[in-house]
Amino acid sequence: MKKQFKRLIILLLFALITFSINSCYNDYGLTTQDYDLVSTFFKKGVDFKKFQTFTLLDTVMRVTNDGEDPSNVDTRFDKQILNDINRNIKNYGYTEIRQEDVDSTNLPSVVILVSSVSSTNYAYSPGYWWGYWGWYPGWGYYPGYGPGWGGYYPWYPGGTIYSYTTGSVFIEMVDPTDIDIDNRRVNLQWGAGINGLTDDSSQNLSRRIKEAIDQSFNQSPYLKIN
Amino acid sequence: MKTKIIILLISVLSTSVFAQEFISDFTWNFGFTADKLNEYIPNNSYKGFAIEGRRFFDKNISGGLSLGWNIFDQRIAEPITIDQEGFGGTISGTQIRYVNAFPILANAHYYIGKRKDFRVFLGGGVGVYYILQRLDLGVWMLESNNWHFGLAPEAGVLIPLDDGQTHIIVTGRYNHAFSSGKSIGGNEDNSYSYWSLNFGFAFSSRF
Repeated sequence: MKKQFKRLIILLLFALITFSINSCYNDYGLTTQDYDLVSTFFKKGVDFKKFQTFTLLDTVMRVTNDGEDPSNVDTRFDKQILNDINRNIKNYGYTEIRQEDVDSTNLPSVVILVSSVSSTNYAYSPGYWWGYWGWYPGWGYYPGYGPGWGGYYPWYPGGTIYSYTTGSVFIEMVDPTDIDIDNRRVNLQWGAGINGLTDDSSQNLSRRIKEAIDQSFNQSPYLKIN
Repeated sequence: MKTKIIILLISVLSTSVFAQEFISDFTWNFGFTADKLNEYIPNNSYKGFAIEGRRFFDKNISGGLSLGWNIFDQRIAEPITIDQEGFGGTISGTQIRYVNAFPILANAHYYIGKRKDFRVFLGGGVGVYYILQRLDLGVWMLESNNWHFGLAPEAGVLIPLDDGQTHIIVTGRYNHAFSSGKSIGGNEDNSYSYWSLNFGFAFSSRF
């Protein structure tokens, strides 16, 4: 009888423990949206109020692996991405100079560049910066720019952006006059990285992209100049 | 000197030979985070357990071994602020923070009260803690797993049930795992502290 009593107690205790400990790592039942991440970085010491105008380049550049055909990449949301960024930057008080209107007498304070990554295990190296953005004719109005130039990303260790297995959008704000000619790089004033799972409906993806772009500006109030 | 060592060994072995009692216990452990662990995970935890064996060397003193597992986790939505030389930033997204602590401790206790009666005991453990620290942030995961030297002062009671061999055991323990490296946030000090309140059953037998 005593032995049975002990066994019963032990069984009850193990039942309690099993109930209390499901696993080392409870996943909290996360949904797809819960994996969305918005990172923003800014260069310290920059007075964003000195910037009054911007040019948003009209192409979302596709960062792809060597040999990968960029035309295979999903471009459904490119226009929305550019529109959402344009809306947010204007809300913060900046005046747009459209890309086609840029000339030597009409230069923007900052240029905004947008790129996306949807391939897996890819490290985005700033060394390719000119390869992606060199086509913009506006660089010709500043001294020194040319092949081999890179963006300067102090917030990414080792000069690379991580490898991504999901969809990501990068927004970069550069001041074309804040440059390091010796090292042939342009210093970024502000950058945003939006990352999330892409396994979702088109409608949900569109909503999540909008929310993430809005969030990148909401969490960067120092950009506001109005 | 040699004679003294032999006498000491004989006396220790003698007490072992004539030891009166062995207690094994199982407890359900509630954890309350403290210090740096509390900064990382403010939530307390009901997810933990321990098993323990205690051998008495005389009527009031026991020594033994304790193995445990405490899980702390919390979902956090607050953004992470970054402040580095030259740049600052913010990362927003769902974070899930985890710490799994596995204490492996040699313990010793002193008892007040007679066997089969209500007993109070004081003591503690010394040994190692294997601690898994993890941060899930979006699709990213950061992890830091380390062995730590640790101490665990403890006090508790043994409440006998009718058969005299089974007891309810209730203990309070302060667990401190000393720093043994960097935390996943890059801090030099990765020490962990938590209180645990443990409830369970202890089974006593004689040799």
